[in-house]
Amino acid sequence: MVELASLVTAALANAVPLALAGIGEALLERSGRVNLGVEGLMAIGAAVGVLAGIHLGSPYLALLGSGIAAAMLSLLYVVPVILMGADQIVAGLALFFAGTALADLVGSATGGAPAPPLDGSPRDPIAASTLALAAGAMVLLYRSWLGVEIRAMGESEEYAVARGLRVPLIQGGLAVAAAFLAGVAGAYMALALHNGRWYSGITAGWGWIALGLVILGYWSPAGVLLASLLTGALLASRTLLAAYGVNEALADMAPYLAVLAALLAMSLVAGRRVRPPAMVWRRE
Amino acid sequence: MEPLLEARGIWKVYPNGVEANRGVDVELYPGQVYALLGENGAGKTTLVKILSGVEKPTRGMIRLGRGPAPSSPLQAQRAGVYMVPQHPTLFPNLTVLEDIGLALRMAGIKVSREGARRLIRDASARYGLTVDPDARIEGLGVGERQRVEVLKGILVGRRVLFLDEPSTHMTPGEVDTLVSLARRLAGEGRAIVYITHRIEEALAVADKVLVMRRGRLVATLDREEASRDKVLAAMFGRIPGRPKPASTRPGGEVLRVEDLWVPSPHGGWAIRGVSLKVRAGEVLGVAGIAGNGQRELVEAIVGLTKPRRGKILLNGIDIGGLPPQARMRMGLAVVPEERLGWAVAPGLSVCLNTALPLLARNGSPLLLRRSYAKMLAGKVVREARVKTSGLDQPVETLSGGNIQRLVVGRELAAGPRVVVAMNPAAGLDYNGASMVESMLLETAARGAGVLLIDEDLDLLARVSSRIVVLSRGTLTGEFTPPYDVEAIGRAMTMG
Amino acid sequence: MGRLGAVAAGIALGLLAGMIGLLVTQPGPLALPRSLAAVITSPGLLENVVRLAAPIAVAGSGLALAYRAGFITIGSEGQMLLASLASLYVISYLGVGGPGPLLAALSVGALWGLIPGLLRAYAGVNEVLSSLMLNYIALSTVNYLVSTSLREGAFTQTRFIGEDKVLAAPLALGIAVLAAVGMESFLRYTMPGAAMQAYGTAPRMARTYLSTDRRIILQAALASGAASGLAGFLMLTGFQRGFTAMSVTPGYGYMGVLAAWLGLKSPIGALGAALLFSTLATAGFLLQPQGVPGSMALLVQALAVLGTVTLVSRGGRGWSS
Repeated sequence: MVELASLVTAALANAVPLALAGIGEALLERSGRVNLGVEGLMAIGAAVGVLAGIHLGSPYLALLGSGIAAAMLSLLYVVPVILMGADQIVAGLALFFAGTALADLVGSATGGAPAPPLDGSPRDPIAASTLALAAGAMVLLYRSWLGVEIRAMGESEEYAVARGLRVPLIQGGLAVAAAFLAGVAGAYMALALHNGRWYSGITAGWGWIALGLVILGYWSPAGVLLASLLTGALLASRTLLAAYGVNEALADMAPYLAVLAALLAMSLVAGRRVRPPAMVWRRE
Repeated sequence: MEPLLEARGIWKVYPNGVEANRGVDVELYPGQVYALLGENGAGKTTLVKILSGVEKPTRGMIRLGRGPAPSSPLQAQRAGVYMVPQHPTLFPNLTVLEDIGLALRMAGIKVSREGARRLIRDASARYGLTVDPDARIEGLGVGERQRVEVLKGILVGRRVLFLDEPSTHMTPGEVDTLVSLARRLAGEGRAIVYITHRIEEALAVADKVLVMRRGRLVATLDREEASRDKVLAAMFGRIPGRPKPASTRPGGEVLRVEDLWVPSPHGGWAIRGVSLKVRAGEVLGVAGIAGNGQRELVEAIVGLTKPRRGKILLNGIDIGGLPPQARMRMGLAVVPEERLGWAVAPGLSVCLNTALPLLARNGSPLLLRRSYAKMLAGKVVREARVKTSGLDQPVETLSGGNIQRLVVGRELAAGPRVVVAMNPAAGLDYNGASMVESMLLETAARGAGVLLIDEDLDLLARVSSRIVVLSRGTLTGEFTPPYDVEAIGRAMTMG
Repeated sequence: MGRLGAVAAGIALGLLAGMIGLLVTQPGPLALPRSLAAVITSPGLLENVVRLAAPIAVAGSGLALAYRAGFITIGSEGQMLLASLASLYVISYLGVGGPGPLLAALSVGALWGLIPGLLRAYAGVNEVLSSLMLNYIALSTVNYLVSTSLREGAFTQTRFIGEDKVLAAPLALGIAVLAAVGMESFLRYTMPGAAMQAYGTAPRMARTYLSTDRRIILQAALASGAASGLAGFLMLTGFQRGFTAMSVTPGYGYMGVLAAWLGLKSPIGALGAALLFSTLATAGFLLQPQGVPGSMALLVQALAVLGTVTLVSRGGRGWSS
């Protein structure tokens, strides 16, 4: 039972960064934009989080700093895409590469020293905040006029422009907010899941997994939260698999395979019949 | 009396050099219905867009009451000026309440959900426009969507209300209701501008008839002095002649559709048991209001969607299981509704856009011979009189009329046995439309069967050998010349 | 500004950002032009540049082709990794020479590349995400094999190919040029190539008049996969030579992605971009002893691409543009 309890704790801790990054991205996608650079934003968040933690001493200030750093980096996406009409796919990918590279620059400045870690338990205020974030995002999206405006422009940008909705303002704002959350998510990974130590590749594709979870959660904050919890449990079971003698490298593969399988299952069940609520994932 | 809206010397030159408005003066007074008439491309829509703040004039002065011109649609809406668009721009994923509420808030009317619900209930009861505030837009038909748009117009356009071709998606009966609604709204002190290219409708609705031609306002007629002939003369500068259908004897059957059932992407059926035959040498017109299964019918015949049931025979051969390219190799030609993206691929040259579909039909081999492609494309461009600066010009830089000539020319150059065309003349000016019409007629005269699916009943009546009516996915009538347009209109509402 | 002007300005922007980045580190901003000059003037380093450029160019050419068809795969990283390992297996474990390792790389790359194609063609799964997941799955697969059946000796590493099996730099360059020209000709002078381009800008037009969705997507997936396979072979025989366990992938496939975009989705353009990238990366190696992290080069590349696509764009959006 002790083992089960620690597994649940680990699952919840894993779910926190996935949900933070995923909910932000879900809101952005509901407004009609996709930012593929989540992984890069999380990487910069992790590096800045550790560096800031070392210098500031407080993990919470470190999380804040990471969020701000990622939000600033997201201007590399917001300015070209939302203000200048560049292709959002390429810009997102470029942001991924730029963020990863920049994270290596920043992270190597930590010299391998640890920052004061977060304990990553469910008692952690960050876990509670994540829950509150999901609830708040649901209210915003489905119970406020701003949410109506977001969903409207995500359905048809052409109509939104014709009808005078505040398209660039809201999309830009959501992109920056989503980046802030992704930055916090990256820092949480470093501080709570890796004992405050940075290493290259620390985010391990979780940013991409978060993008997949947006789809699995069907672009609803509550859905993304649920998908994050399931994936968090899957990630936590790696140690369990290793205990049963499964090769570590193969156990590492499990979450990516699971997300791939889930995407496939979802496309087969829903893909042809149901239109994604966010136009960015629609194909003709 | 002060005009609600006053415009002087409006000029609009688009970046591509088109002069859409050339010195237009208008004054709109409360209590009046203005019918704005003109053929496609006369500049009506541009003028209305300028007056409602959507576009800025190149030159000219606009005054709203005593205030200056609105510089955005939102400013115009806050001042009570609103345009009901020709095609509804409602968000399918919202409810009626959310969509209207959003529009009210954009127009500066801060309402809560409940407040919006009250406004919608009151207005819909008062003007007889029944809508369910909690219905999702995607579940509504075109007619219902139009009602929502009009309701929104009533709530926002408290001073000046523009109705842009409001009868596009309406049956003759619905048009009558709309005309009396427009008169009632004017009676309450608004200025109503009713844009149309149908003369009868204009004469029925208007206190004043404004006629535009080639970017100018060429006539302002009072209701009493306006007559069909006067308006026609003003619209065209002369009474126009149109191509006549060739009187060839229809030959054997080239296309046969049997008991076709096509599911709708929104659930239910888009096509419910349609059967029809097209013979060589004839134009079979399919009349109906958009959204009654026209697009799905085209897609099924072309092979883009799989019908759930039924047969499609081309020259007696069942083509149901074949991909589109195989159907084209067997003599099918398609003039789709959308030009950019469906008929031609933007980003590719005029040459490739013309030659590739022809080469693909020849069962062409792996290699693409540039010189041969150029020759093929050059021939089509010459014969269809497409104005280009060269074959390497990207296709999207051509005007709409030129693209359509290119598409029709290309499809006919393949020597088809069957041509499926959907709204081929939509949005073209008089000359462009005439040319497309005569090209289709010539093809029929040369022995092909033409299936012409069009919203424009006048055009269908001019060129069709027979007309069938498609309504809610079924055929509700078949007509032969001389056509009883009223009966066709009634059939459009059945099913 | 023309399209080439936009590329030049984008590259300048990237380099400028790199120099600004160097302000905070030891050697200072002028170190970047200095080390670039050092690379260009040294024949030995140029050989290094060419060896590095060849796989990036080949992967980038294949990706350019796929992107023209609107198939936005990022799977080159995993495809290269597995293909590279396959040719290593054929050379060092089976002892087969000649075209054997090349064929193994091509087929493994094509097969791995086909997966996102099949997923999209038959189930509508978005290829950006599926190909990325497959990159991580490829990484785990390589790590698994390195730690088990291909493990050699006391450390978790494979055998390494001998010096005699290393490809001469001019030969690598020749293969890269051939691949890029071949891919460019495919787009320009064949019907399937033209259909792909039409599909990239107007899928509905292409599926009505030219080809079927499945055929085009599978062709694009196969072509880009095979190209990445060839790139994997060039990576192994050019400089990689063997594998150890890794926490992150080497990143040359990702550079191919960037090269394809910087080359404006043209295979020949991708070749040029790859040469630029490898020059930058080599200059980066030179700066590493002075305390500049190797990822500096990647940062400059990413910013150059971002600058270029911003300047080139005319409001393009969505998956197809």
